Amino acid sequence: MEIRIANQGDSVLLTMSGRFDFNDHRVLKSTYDPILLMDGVQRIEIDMAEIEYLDSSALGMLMLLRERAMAVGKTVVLSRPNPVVAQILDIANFKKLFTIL
Amino acid sequence: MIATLFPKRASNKLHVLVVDDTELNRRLLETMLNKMGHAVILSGSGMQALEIFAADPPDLVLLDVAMPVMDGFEVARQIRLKNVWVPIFFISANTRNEDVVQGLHCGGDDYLFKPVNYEILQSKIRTFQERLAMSERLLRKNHSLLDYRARIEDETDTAREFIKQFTALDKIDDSLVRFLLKPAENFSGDLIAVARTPDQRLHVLLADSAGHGLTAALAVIPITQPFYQMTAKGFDIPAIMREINRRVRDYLPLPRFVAAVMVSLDSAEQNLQVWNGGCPAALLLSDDGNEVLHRFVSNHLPLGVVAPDQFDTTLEYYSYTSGPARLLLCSDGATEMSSGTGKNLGHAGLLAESKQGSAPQLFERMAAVIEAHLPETGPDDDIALILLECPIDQQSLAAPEFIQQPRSGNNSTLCEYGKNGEPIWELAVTLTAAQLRRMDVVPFLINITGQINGGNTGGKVFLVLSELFNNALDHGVLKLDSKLKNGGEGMERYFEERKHRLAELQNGQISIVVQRQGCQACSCLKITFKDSGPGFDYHASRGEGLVRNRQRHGRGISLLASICNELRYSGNGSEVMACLSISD
Repeated sequence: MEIRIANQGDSVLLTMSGRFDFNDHRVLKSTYDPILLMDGVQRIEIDMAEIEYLDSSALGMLMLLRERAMAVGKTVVLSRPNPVVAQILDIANFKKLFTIL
Repeated sequence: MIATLFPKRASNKLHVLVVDDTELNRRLLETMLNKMGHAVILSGSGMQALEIFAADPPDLVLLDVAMPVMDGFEVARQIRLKNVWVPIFFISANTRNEDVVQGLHCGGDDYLFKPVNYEILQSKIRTFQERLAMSERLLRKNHSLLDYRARIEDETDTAREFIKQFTALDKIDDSLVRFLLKPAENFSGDLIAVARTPDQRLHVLLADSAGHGLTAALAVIPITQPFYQMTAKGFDIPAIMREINRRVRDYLPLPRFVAAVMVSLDSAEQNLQVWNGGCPAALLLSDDGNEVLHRFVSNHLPLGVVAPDQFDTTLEYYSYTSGPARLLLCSDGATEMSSGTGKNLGHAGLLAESKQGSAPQLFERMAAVIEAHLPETGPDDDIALILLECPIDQQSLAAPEFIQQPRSGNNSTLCEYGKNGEPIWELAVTLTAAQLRRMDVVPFLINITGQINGGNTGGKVFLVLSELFNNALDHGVLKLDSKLKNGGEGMERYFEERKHRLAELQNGQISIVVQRQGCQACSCLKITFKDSGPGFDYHASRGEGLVRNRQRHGRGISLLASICNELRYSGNGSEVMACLSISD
């Protein structure tokens, strides 16, 4: 998986691509940890359009990110999942946890 | 092994064996080596050198090549045959390339020309010492890695055995359940658990813990314990799932997250209850697997995500009234197998590929389809699949075995002693709206009855208590009409209405008395329920109508009458006394 970061004022856009699974824990965490410390950032958007697949570990990582973000008063938004990814999010009922755009 | 290869040296002082047939050369080397701070042993012949070597191996051998009887090359060959490895430097006047090459071939580590230069010898020895120290360090590290690996393997075995005890897959033995479990690694993060409640409802749980390996497999501990313990006590899905969710949150490391689907099958009432949080839809299939009758989709978050007070226990209900059916449960590992084609097998593929064939072999065909789609390297994700038979035959309607046993003295009146004497113990409790809204009353009663009486009171007591309590609550306090259950969506409508009325309950009470009668011969338990409801016409209910409609209206009064020594309604029908023998 690859992650690109774009700073958009009070929002940070993380564009992830490829297969998002249990191998990506460290890279994701090292990406979002500094973002969680940024005072001006209110919202973290994860653009999922280029994610081909996510496994249950990836769902766990998203949840962890959400909890960590909530603890520092930031929100996490998921956007543009492809049909496969959307189905995985749907089965896990992530709509109850995240705003999915 | 390290000790023999590298004898422990207190300092850089080496024991050096010098082998030369010329006295002058030996003395020259001895002087140099002593000056460098090493201890020297001198030998004038190859044979003697081998003897010294065998008796006390030195740290380094300096070996002349041209010697009578046994030359230096032969001495080196002999030394190399021994178990101990010691560096050998040839010291020779022969400076031809062939000599050097032959020396190295015979097992020499270096080849120095005579006359020996002090600085060169010193730096060669020093370099060698450094190389030795380095390989010693590597060997020690390698050794500790090997030790570590052996220990990890031991611990992995222990963990696997431990988790095996918890999962107890080998103890799953229910005629209605067939399953397949294929871990991607040593440990499975997918879990299957199967158990029966005291009144023979079948509970099946499939859980898929986030991730793989040991971390995922650890989730079995907070899951299986409450599943088996609470099922044995007769708790329903909501109480069990709420408890598992709480334990997953409390005990599992972040990100704790377990997708799960739990089913309760009451084949006596042909009723299915399903809670699905994060698993692929559970599919209710026609008996031959050709038709999907219903999809129990995931409508909850996985376990461990939401706080206990926000945990949603809403169930989905389904009555399979038109004929026997099969329920298919699987983890995403089963439906997302791609067999290298890049396209997931999916539910549709699994069903389509296992369609052709007879109904009894449906599970075997599904297992074969899974096998056929497995990548050669084994599954990428844990795979779990359960096929549950949902029967409709009359045999299973009577479910619990003890009901079928012929009873002696059926419907006889109470034994004289029990009727008139003092009870050995008595439990009396009155519950009002606040407790009825909140409590799981039947497991509570079973638990406390068991504790007072000593030991397990068995399925019969559970059945009587749960029937009497449910009648008192549903039809007495909540005033629900059994007719609600009629029709296709009846069961679901009934349970929704029950849930709604219970949540809104403000008034009403149920009084329960359980007495152990003092008659030693028959060990009678006398159970009395009185509810605040309007009662019912029990004279009519004992008639044929209720028996005929049993499968839609619960096991009902006729079932109770068949297992109790006596069952007597009184007053307006809101009070009932059951007496049953618990000695068998």
